[in-house]
Formats: sequence, C-alpha cells, structure tokens
Amino acid sequence: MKVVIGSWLFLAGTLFAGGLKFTETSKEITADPAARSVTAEFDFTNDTQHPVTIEKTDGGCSCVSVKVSDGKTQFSPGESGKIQAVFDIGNFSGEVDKPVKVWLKGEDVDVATQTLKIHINIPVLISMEPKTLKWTVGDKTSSKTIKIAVHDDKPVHLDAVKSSTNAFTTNLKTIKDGEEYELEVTPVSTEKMGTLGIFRIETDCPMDRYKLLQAFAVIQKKS
Amino acid sequence: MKSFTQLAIIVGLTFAAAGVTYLVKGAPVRMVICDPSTRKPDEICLGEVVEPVVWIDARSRKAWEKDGLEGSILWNLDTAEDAQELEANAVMHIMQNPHVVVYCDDENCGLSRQVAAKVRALDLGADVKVLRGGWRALKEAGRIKGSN
Repeated sequence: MKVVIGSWLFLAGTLFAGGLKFTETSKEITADPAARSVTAEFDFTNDTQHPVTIEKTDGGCSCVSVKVSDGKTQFSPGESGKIQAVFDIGNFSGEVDKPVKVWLKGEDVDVATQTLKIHINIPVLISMEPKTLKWTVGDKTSSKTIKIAVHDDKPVHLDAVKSSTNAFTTNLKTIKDGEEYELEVTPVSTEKMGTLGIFRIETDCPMDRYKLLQAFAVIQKKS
Repeated sequence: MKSFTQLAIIVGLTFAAAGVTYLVKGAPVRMVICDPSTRKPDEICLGEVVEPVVWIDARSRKAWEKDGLEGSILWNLDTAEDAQELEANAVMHIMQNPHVVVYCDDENCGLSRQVAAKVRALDLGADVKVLRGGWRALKEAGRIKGSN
C-alpha cells in the first residue's frame, strides 16, 4: 500500500509541476509620473522533464501587450525564459491591477495555466478638487471653487479657461505660480435644472494626459 | 506487482468516475455565475439591474462599435481616445440618469472598475456599479445583437 500511495504522490507531484516555475507571480510597480508605459518582467524556468510550449498569453485589455522571450514559445527541460508585459498608462491613474494570463499547450483552454499579477501605482500629477461643482435649483448664485494642485517638482502653468456655456462665469486664480491654482465658478442663474457647464483649461505640461484639464458645474434638482 | 495492480485499479476507478460524471452531468458549465450574496460590493449581477441605467462600455472603440450593448456609451482609457470628450459625454448622460453600470470584456478585464472609479471621481452623486461578468454576461443573456 505504501508503494501505491508513494506512486500516487509522485504522479500528483509530476502533474503539479507540469507548468513553468516562476520566480515571482506578482509585481508591484510605481510608475514615473512622466512615464507613458511601465514594464513588468516575470522570469521562469521549465522545471519539468519535458518540453513546455506557451500557447497563448493575454493581458486582459488593449492597454497591455505581452511578449514571451522575444517570440520564443517552446522551452526545453531546465531552460529559462521571460514573460514581459508592457502596460500603456494612457489615461489610467491611481492604483491599477492587471492580470496577465498564460496558457500552456495541452492544458485546459478555458482556464489559464498561470495568472501573473501586476499592481501599478500611477501618481496623479495634477489634481482637481472637486471635479464637479454643484448647485441646487433655487440656490443663491454664489461662487464655488475648484482647487488645482501640481504634484511635481517641475512647475505646470495653466492657461485661460474655455467654457461650454455662458450659464456660468469663471475666474482662474493663481495661488502659487506653477503649483497651485483655483478655478472660481459662478452660476448666472440657478433656476434651470440640468444646466451643465464644461470647463477646459490648457496647461504647459509636456505629458499628453495633463495637457488639458476638465471640470464641470451643474445645477441639480432639490433632493 | 500487487501494488501496481492496486495503483492501476485506483487510476482506472478515478477515470471511470470522471467519465460517468461527464456523461451524466455533461461538460463543465462555463457560464457567468453571479450570486448576489457573494459578489463584491461595487458589483452588480445582470439580473439585479433595474433599467433604465446609463450603460458604459469600457472596452475598445472597435469592440463597442462591433457589438456593444444597444444604447451604451463609450468610455475607455485608450490613449488614442479623446479622454475629455468621453468624460464630458458621460457627464451629460449621468446628468439625465444617475444610475450607472460599467462593463468590460469579462470578470477578469478590470477596466470597468477603473472607469467606475472615474465616474465616482466626477462627484455627481451617481450610483455606479460594475457588471459582474461584463460583456460576456450580456451576451449569454441575449442582450447583445446577434446573440441568443
């Protein structure tokens, strides 16, 4: 019976090791504020006694491209390789989790053989607080303010505000040149529910996603 | 030799049991399963959605144009898109209806959660949920044109 159990455990062990052995299966990366993309690399070794072929990889969205060891997909016993996932930061910000799935040839096609995890922290370079200013129908036409702060060593300057409507007046104030600004918004009237103002502010930030800031003002119904 | 016979019997019985299970129960079900009692707080099952809502498709423009849910609007995070334009369009819709459901490809894509966070950051007081199972759940429910 011992031989049976031993053989069974050996067989189970062999099946368990049927994939690739990764040195790490999750990575945490803090992106440079100016970066357009971040790259995560996962090293692996074929720890089995037979060749292993990576049949498919999937980064879960068009923002992640996955490459396996410069196109090589078959790995002999003991051979090492690398899975490289490049995340296009695009318009993402804050904390982002991206799973990278790997399928090996001969394994279940519906369930990935291995899921690698990437946690990316993308610093917010310019914050606007709040993003939307709100008034209720019948409110006083008092001014409200959006605080704009630059969280970078290099200054970012804001240009004039472009408004989608004349239902609100705007005044962009410089609190600390290149670092802090305030957008003061005043409704002309608060009588019409659903009035929406869209404000766009051009900046001299070299990063595409911060070249144009956007904020809103709305007149909402009474709750 | 006796031991190997025993091993062969165990392996044989295992495969026989698996075969019988397959014949009786059929192939494994790969449908999206959404249990309201176990889903995450920011998620919603398709069966729980009370229309009308603003449906936001967080997939690529190409995918949205090909087989997006009828009446949905696009808001993804692709660099090729005009982020301000997508955001402003969403605000105009949310102003009309503050109930929002975001979907992406399936339960693994994660993009819908990112877009949902952006909707919340607008501070419009909208009720924002992520559709469990994403577009796949809509397709399986026959909500996508051309699906049963």
